Amino acid sequence: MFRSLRFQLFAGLMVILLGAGLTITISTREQMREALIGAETRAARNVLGQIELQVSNRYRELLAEKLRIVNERRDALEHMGAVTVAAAEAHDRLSDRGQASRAEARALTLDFVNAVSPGGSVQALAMTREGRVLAHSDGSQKGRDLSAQPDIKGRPLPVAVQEDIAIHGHAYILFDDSAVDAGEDGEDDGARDGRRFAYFREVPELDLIIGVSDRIGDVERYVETGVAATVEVLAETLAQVRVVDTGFVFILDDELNAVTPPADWAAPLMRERDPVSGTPIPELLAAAARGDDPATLRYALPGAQAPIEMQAYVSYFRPLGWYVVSTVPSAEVNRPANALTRQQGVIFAMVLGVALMLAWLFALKLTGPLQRLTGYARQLPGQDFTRSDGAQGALDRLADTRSEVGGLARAFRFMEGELRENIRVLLDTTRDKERIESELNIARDIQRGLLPKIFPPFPDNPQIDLHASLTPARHVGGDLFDFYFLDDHRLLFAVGDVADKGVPSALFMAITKTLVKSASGQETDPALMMRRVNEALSADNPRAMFVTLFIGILDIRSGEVDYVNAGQNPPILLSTDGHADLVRPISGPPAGVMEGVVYDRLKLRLASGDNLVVYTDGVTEAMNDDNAEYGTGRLLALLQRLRGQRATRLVDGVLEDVRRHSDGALQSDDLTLLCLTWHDTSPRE
Amino acid sequence: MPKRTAAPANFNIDRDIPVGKAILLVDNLGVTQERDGTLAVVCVRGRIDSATSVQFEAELDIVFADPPDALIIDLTDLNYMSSAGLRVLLVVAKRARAEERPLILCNLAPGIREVFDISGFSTIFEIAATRAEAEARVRG
Repeated sequence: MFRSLRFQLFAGLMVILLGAGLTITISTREQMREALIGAETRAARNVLGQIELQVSNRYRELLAEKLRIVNERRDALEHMGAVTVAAAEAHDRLSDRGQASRAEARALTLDFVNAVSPGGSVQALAMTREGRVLAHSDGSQKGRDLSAQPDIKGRPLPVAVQEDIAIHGHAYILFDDSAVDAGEDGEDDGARDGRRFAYFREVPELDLIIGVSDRIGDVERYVETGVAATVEVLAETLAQVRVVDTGFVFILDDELNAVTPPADWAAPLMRERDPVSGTPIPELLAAAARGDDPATLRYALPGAQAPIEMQAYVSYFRPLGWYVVSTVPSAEVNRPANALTRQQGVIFAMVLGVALMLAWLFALKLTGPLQRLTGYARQLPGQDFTRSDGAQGALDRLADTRSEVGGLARAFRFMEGELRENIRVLLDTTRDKERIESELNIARDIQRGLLPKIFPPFPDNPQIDLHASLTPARHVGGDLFDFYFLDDHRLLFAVGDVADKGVPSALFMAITKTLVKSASGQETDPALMMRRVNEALSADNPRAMFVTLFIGILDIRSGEVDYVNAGQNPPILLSTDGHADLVRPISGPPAGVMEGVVYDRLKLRLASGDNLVVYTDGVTEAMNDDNAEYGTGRLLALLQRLRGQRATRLVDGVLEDVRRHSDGALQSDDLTLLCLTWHDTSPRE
Repeated sequence: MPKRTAAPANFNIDRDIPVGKAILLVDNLGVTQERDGTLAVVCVRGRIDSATSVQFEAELDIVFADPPDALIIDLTDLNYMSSAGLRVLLVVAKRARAEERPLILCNLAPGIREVFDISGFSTIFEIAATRAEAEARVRG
């Protein structure tokens, strides 16, 4: 399944699609996140900026109001001072005109000051240059010595007044008069803020310094009240401001106390520490604002289950000493980005699903023809190839396509055509071969018919124990053997081996056997018989076929053998005394070699019980797979062991041993063996 | 050089030939010819049996295509000769005799010599012990 082409195509497409999709998703995802988070961050910062703007606007308004009040008060002080100085100068003019003494004029002025009632918190005084208060609108302060009273800059009041008058002609002095105010005012915050603002002018003719002062605490209080109102408004506004979703804005003062509180759900923020840094969260927030640029601060707010990741944008509003904090859970800032990513993921998965379905269909379409080809190839062996038409039609449509599959189909069709042609040729060849085979089988039967096949051949003749065997290497062979009685006493036996093997040898063998038979009827001497055979075979023998031939004639009365050996392997004489000897002499070259050969007539004599074994080289040259020959030595040794046994046993024993030696190797030559045992049955003399 | 008929690369003898392990896939016979003027010396190597005798006959036909005055067949490296081989030699001998060209065999290994002796062929062929002796006889 996983190795199928279809699956591999499908898997390949899947990998490509996945790769492309993931690359796009991942690369755009970060950009999207950054853009969306940037937008949320800007929103949070904008809220912060607006709050900051609101606070600073309100503060500027307060300052402007404060300035207006201060100017108003100053104008009032200056007016009051001018009135008092004008009174003093009027008194002085009385003395100038002699209507009163200078002392009286001075006393008049002091009385004026004592009696004047400026109203509110305004006080008027007249003092000497050394700072002794001679007259005061608040009678209890008459006689105070202000020489040690420091102004706001730390100078003794009289010194400061004279210095400023020397320069400007009048002096504005700010000083703290809390100690005196406390007893007199009885207001709660009197002790806290007894600062006064005073306007001094000198009346040199009367040797007096006229001063008018007012408390400035209420101006400050006015600002504070304004700030408090601002805070109240802010607190209401901020409570409704939502950064992103649950994020909020709140304000800390310099002491890190909440000016406006954080949202209820984040109330613990004021007393918890950031788990990472271990610093109290308000401190962290304040520290974040110290830089010029309001940086993003990340911290964790310990929650019920797990700390909540938060981020905050803090700005410091210096005039009020406020830290304006806009903070929001990080998850909320990331939420739109995460949502978009999820959505993108879903879209991608859907597109991928559709694409994979298409890819599967595509793979099916691509591999479908291959499967049809496979089916075609599978049913091909079941075809009847002897018919000229076949399953070719099944591929016609495929073969018309121009793709590689079309090429394959054409190749298949070509192959099938060739197969049909080859099988037709093969069938013809097989028919021919069968015909030849059957003819060869007939030839073999005929050839076998040529050989004697009744064993034992002479059951009525106790002198003779004869057995022979011929095993052709192919259907027909070139070996031959024969035996028959020429008359009552003389037994002719012959063994031959035509050069080469197969059909030509078989024909030659048949001729030879017939020639021997015919020659034995005409001659009594085997050498002359051989000569006749040779002459007949040599004449008109263009392929130079020849036959090695042994012809022996045994006189069953005496055991004498007249024989002629034309190139046949030397026969073996197996004596009753245990010797096995090769009978080496030969009479001449094989029959058929050349005309005019004169063969020698040879003789040997058998003792009673002696065996004469005549064989062809198929026995001694029988080979095994290692091309090792059976060998004459082994044959001699075997025959010695088998000595005394009947001819049948000897022949079978040799054949068995040769087979054992060949060990299944293809028989390379015809194999013939004839064994003749003579027993002397004549009465003993 | 002996001719070699290489089996196809994907051909496995044990698997692809069910019977007849002795089938000769590789020629066991090598025949080379040297020419020294009008004298041809043919060196035979390997085996001459039924399977290779056809090749042997063909090789000798090539020698006679440009008939030499005399022919020496050097059998130094011949390991085996069957009756089929003897027949081919006989064909050559007859042809040489008909055309009156001397033919001498030389350097017969003992086993080959025995085949010649047993079969009586040693009386038909002119056989020299060494090639030098054969050449001397041809030239002399």
